Amino acid sequence: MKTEEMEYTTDDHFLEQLMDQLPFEKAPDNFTNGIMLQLSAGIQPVADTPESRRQLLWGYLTLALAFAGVVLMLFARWPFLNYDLTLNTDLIRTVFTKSINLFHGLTELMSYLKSGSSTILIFASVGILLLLERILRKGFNRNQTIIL
Amino acid sequence: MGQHDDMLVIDQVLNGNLAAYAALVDRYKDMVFTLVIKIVRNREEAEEASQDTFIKAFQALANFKQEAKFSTWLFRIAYNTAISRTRRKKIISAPIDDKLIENYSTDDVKQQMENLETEEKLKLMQEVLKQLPEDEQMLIELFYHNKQRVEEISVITGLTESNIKVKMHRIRKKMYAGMQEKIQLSPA
Repeated sequence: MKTEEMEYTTDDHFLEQLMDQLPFEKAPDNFTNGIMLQLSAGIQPVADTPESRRQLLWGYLTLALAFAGVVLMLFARWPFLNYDLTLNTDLIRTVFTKSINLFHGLTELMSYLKSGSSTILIFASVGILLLLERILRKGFNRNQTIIL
Repeated sequence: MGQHDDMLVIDQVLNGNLAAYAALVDRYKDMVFTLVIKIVRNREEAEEASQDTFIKAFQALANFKQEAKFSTWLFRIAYNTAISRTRRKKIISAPIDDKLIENYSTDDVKQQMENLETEEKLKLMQEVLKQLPEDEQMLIELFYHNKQRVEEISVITGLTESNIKVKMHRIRKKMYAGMQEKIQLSPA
């Protein structure tokens, strides 16, 4: 049988027989003992509880905030903040105006930082990241979660 | 010890019988070690990665859902652990000649292999396997050696079933070509 005629399947009795004759690699002799020693040192199974899932979600949220902080620092002027939003509904307009004002405030702060010394900018970024990392670590340490 | 026995042991471990976990380690240590060494290609590193696998599995045991076999779940942890180690260093293997992959006769290879002594045959197979990239060795290992089905390999590796089938087809061709190459090179 030529290569082109080979049936498109994963089964191959010949290969299977050959592979069956190949021995498994042997794990070292003290392998099981080594693991059991580590386990008896206090490692415990960790259940995936709603609490741990909440903590994980909270962790991701903090990470996202930290990332947003860095983005804000790096791109102090976002083009969309300069758009003139004309809205028909007063309430929505008020909310948007306030939000835009908040963003403008942030933008001005960022612009100030950006126009100032880059050393200050770097220190400010590192400061925010360190602060968020501490909060994040505190949250994670409260209930360790295993991510496979 | 089958899947049912695995579940009994897991229940015992989760109920606080730590020592029962040794039975699971003993049952799967060689399979895990063989799988991991195919990926990391270094005994010391394979030992560390295999130990990590069993520790991670123990810690996550409460999360093991019986939707999959315990072995499939364990191999997935082993695969991820080993792969994360290979990302640190790229392993290069001497590939099987592409020309040979398109020009061999399966029947001839089978016939010539049958003429070899068992020991020779197995040595040749091991040499051919070593010529495959680590991901292909691992697929062969899981499918033929660890008896995992295509859908289970998909769970372990994250590859789609169709992708696995295509890869397996290609690997089989490479293996036959590799056997052909080795037979031609070996003294008559």
